[in-house]
Amino acid sequence: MARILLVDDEPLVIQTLSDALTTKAHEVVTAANGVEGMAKFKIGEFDLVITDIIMPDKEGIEFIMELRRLSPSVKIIAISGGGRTGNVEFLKMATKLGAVAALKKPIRLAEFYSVLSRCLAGSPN
Amino acid sequence: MPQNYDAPQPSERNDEALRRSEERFRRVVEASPSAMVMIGRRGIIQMVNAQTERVFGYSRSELLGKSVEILIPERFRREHPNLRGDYFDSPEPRPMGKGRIFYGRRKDGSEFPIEIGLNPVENDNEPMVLSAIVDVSDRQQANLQASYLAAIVASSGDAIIGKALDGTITSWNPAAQRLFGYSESFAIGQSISLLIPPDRSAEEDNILAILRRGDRLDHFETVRRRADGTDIDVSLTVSPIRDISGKIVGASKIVRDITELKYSADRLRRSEERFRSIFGAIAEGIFIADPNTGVFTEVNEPGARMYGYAVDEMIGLDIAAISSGDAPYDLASARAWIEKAAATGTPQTFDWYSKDKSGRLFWTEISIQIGIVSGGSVVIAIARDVTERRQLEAQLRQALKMEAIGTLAGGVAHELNNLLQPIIMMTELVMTSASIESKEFKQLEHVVDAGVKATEIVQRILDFGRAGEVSHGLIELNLVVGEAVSFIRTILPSTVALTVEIDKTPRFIRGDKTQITQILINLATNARDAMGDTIGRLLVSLSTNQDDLELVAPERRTLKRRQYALLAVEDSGAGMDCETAQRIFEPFFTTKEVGKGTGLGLSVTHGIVTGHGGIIQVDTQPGLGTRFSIFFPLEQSEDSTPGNITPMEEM
Repeated sequence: MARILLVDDEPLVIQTLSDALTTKAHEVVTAANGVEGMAKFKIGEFDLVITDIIMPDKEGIEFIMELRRLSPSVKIIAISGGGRTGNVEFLKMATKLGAVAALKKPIRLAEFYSVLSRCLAGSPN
Repeated sequence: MPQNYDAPQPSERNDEALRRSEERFRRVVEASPSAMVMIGRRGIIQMVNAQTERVFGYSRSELLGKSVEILIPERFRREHPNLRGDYFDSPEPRPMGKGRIFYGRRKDGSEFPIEIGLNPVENDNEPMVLSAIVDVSDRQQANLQASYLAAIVASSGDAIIGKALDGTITSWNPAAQRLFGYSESFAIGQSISLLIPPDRSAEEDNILAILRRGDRLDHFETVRRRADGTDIDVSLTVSPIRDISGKIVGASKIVRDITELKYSADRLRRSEERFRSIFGAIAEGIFIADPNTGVFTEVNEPGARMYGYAVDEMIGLDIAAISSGDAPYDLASARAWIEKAAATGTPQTFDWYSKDKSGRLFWTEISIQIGIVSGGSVVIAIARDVTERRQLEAQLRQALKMEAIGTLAGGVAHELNNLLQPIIMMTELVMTSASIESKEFKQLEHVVDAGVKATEIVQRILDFGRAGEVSHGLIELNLVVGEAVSFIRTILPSTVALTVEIDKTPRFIRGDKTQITQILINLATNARDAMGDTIGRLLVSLSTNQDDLELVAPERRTLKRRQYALLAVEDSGAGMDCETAQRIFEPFFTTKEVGKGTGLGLSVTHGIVTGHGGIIQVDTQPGLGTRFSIFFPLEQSEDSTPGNITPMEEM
C-alpha cells in the first residue's frame, strides 16, 4: 500500500485513476491543479505523485520541477492527454526531469498497474 | 438652194445685172450661220434662211407671211410693234438693244438667249428690216462656267497659281496670298523662283521638264518659302495648261500647306514607334483581338511564347484556341468577360485556364479592356502565366489548412483523451469484477474496444497536428525503410505479395525516423485497402534520383537541382480517377466507408513529406493501381556514416 498524490484538472480522470488505485488499496490524495497539488504535497508524505502535464493553473512540467526541488527522491509518473503544441515532447521532457514514467492518456488499466507496481518496487522500467 | 420663198419679184424692166445681184444676196443670206429674218413695216415675215428653220424649229412655209412676233416670247410681244415702228422711222444698221440679251421663242415654246443685229434693206421700193439672229446659249453657258471656275479658284483653301513655261507667275488666288504672304498684284509677273528656297532651286527645272513632256506632278512634297522668309511643308500638284492647238503654254500649280499634316504624321509615327517598343518590351503577353469574333489581330512576342506559338502563327487564332475549353474557361465565358469590360468601361481581371499549342493546360491571369483603335473597338488582353503563383497559393492554402487543423486537432485530441480515459479504464475496472465468461464481460469488452479505436483516431489527428513540428536529425533512409517494411509485412494479408527494392547505397536525409515509418505505414494501409481481398502486389522501392531524371510534373520543378532519395510505394489495387487523385491530400477527404478511414492518413503523409523538404506525387489510373513517389533531399556529406546519426529524440 502506498500513499499517492494524484493531480489532474479533469474530474473524470481523477475519479477513474482514484478508483483504479484504491482498488489496489492505495491511499489517494487528489488535486485539481499544480498549485493545489503543491500545497497538498507540502503537508503530506507521498510515495508517488501522478500528475497531468497540461493543467490550467500550473503547468505539469513546472510542477514536476518544483517537486524535484522539494524532494529529490519522490517518484513521479507524468500523464498527458496529448494534443496542443509539442505536448508529447513534454512527456519526454518530464522523463528527463525525473519522472520515472510517462504515460499517454487514455491509459489502459493493465499498463497502469504494471507501471505502478514497477515504480513502487523501485525500478519503473 | 432656196426654192420657194416669197421674196419680192424683180420687175420686167430689171436687167440681167440686177437679177444676178439679187441672186447673190439670196445666196449670202441663205448661207449665213446666223438666222436671218426679213420683215416689212407691219412685221410680216418676207424671207427667212435655213438657219432660221434650225434655230426656231419652224419650217420656212410656217414662217413666211406670218407676223414676226411668233418668234418672240409672249411677254415681249405687246411692246414689239412700237419698237419696230421706231426702227422704221429711223432705220440704220445697229445691234438691237445695245448689247442687251433678248430671247427668242421656238416652235415648241422654249426660249433661248439671242443677240440681234438690224439692217434696213429695200425690196421693191418697200423699206424692210433684215435681222441677223444669233443663239448665244452656248456663250452664256461658257461665261457662266468661267465665272464658276473663277469663284472656285478664288475661294479654294489651296493656293492655286498659274505660271508660264518660263516660270513667270500668271495668276495668283487669295489662298496663295494667304499662304505665301505676297499680294496678287505683286506676285503676277514675278518668277516662280520667288517661292523656292535656294537649296531647292533645281526642283523647278525638274518640274518644268515634267510639264514639257505633258505629264502631271501629283502631291509632290517639298518645302517652299514665304514672304517673311519662313519655310513651309507643302504638297504640289502641277498640271500643264494647253492652248487650243494643244501646245503647252503654262502650268497650274496647286499648293497645299501640309505643315500641320506632317506634324500629325510625325506624331503618329512616333506614337506608333513608342507603342511598338512598349508592346515588344513588356514581359507579359499582350493580345489584341476583335471583340465580335475573338480573333487575334496582334500579339507580342512574350504572349506568343507563353502559348508556344510564333507571333505569326497566333494572329488569326481566336480565344477558343488558347482556352482549355472546360467551362467556365470557354468562348462563352470569354464573351461574357468582354461584354462586361465593354459595359463597365473598366478593365476586368480574372484567372483563366489556358491551353498552349501542344495542348498543355496552364493557369493565366487575364486582364482585359476595350480600346478604340481607328474608330473600331478592340479587346486588349494582358496575360500572365500564374502557374507558379497558383502552386504557391495551393501550398499556402494547404499549409494554412494544416495549421488550423493542427491546432484544432491538438485541442480536440486532448479533450477526447481525457474523456476516453474514464470510458476505457472505468470499464476495465468493472470488468475486473465480472466473470470472464459472463455476457456482461463481453459487452464491456466492446466498450473498451470502441474506446481503443477512438484512441487510435485521436492519435492520428494528433499526428496530423504534429506534422512538421518535429526537429530533424540525420537519418539513414535505407535502415529506416528497411525497418518499416518489416512492420508493413505484418499488416498485409497473405493475398498481397510484398516486393522490396532497396539498393545498398547509404542515403542520408534530415528527418524523423518515426514519421518516415508512419508515411510508409499510411501508404501501405491505403494500398492494402485499395487491393481488398484480391490477389495483389505491393512494391516498396528506394533509389537515388539522378540529376538527369526527367522532372515532368510541374511540382517537381520546384525541387532544387540536387540529389534526391526516391521512395516509391506502388500497388496493383483499384487506382483512382483524376478527380479523386487531386483531392487525396486534403484533410478529411476519404473514399473509405464511414468508420474505416479518418481522411487524415494522406494529409498527414503530405505534411510529413513537406516538413522534410520533400515532394510527394501520385500516379494512378482507375483499375491500374497507384504509385506514390516521394522525393527527399539527400544530405551530401561524404563522411556521413550511420555512426553519425543524431538520435531523433534529442530536442
